[in-house]
Amino acid sequence: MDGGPKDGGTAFAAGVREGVRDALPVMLALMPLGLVVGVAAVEVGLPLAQAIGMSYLVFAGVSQLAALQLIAVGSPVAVILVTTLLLNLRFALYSAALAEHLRAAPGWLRAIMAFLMTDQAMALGSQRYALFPERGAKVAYYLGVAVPIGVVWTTASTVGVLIGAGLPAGLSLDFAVPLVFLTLWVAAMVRGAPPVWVAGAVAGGVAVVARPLPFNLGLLVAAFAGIAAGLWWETRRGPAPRPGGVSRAQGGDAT
Amino acid sequence: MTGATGWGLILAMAAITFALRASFIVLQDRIHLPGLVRRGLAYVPAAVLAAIVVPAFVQLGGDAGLADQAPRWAAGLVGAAVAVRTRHMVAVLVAGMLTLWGVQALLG
Repeated sequence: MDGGPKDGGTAFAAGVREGVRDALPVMLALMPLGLVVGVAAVEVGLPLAQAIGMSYLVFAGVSQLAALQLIAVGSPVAVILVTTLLLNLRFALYSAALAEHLRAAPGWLRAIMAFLMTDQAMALGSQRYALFPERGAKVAYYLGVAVPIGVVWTTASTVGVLIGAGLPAGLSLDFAVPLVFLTLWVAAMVRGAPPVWVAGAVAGGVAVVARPLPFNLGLLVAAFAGIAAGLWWETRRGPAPRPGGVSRAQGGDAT
Repeated sequence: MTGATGWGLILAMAAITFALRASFIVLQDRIHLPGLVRRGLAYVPAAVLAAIVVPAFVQLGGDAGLADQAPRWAAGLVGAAVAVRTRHMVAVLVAGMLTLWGVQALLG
């Protein structure tokens, strides 16, 4: 088994250490987002257990923030779930990108590794597998990256929940959520090619106009309009650089 | 939001997210995404994030007056400028919140 625990502890341990070392800067970068998600969960009124539990169960910061923002404006559950699906669709691409490298692991371990997948784990993993295709311990490396990132993320958001519970009201702290999204959006736009800019611009414009639609459906209408506009632009003007996800995911700013 | 809806929502979000993450890793080669879906995925982040972000800062019509809107516009513009320059979440948060509070105080 490639890099599995049975092929000698030393190679496995070395792979884990290599992963942890590569993940260190990512762990630092993730702490603010984890804190913000924790604080935001309390700000929109989730009970303490749910505010903490969300980060452990969903474990996907951007979609959690989006859900919290939608809860704050009173969206129905269906809109929140479709938004979760859209925002986390990229994980299916990552899953496809990583599958061949992690196939040596048994099914239960693959399920755990899938659960621990983040933008950062995918970015570091595929970078290492591309740079050093001959180096073994691929599973160990992935675990070395993904487990510490998971621990840091859940801990930071738990701390955020506990801090948030003690913050005074009336500071408009809920405004922090759109500011975080603004950062992520700007990063996605700046990293992207022209069809991505078209997608973002159209989605933003449609979202403002479609805002009066009931059940916050404007969000979904705008998202699909933006995606369609991006595809249309790409077909007219030639393809965007391969969307594989790697280049988009290296900002170290999203879980 | 009631407790039951809250846990149900969180578990449903968790199930959707895990299914997407596990898809290829667990099922290996047994599934394929159609080409159009694969290409469309490239535009999902920019489009969905825009649809969340822009209406949070810009609201057409309605009953909100300038005094209500101006702090958000100012914070959004300052935040966007800092985001373009630094792409640093903490910097954007600090700049945006300080702008919001500052303009609120000026108009207050």
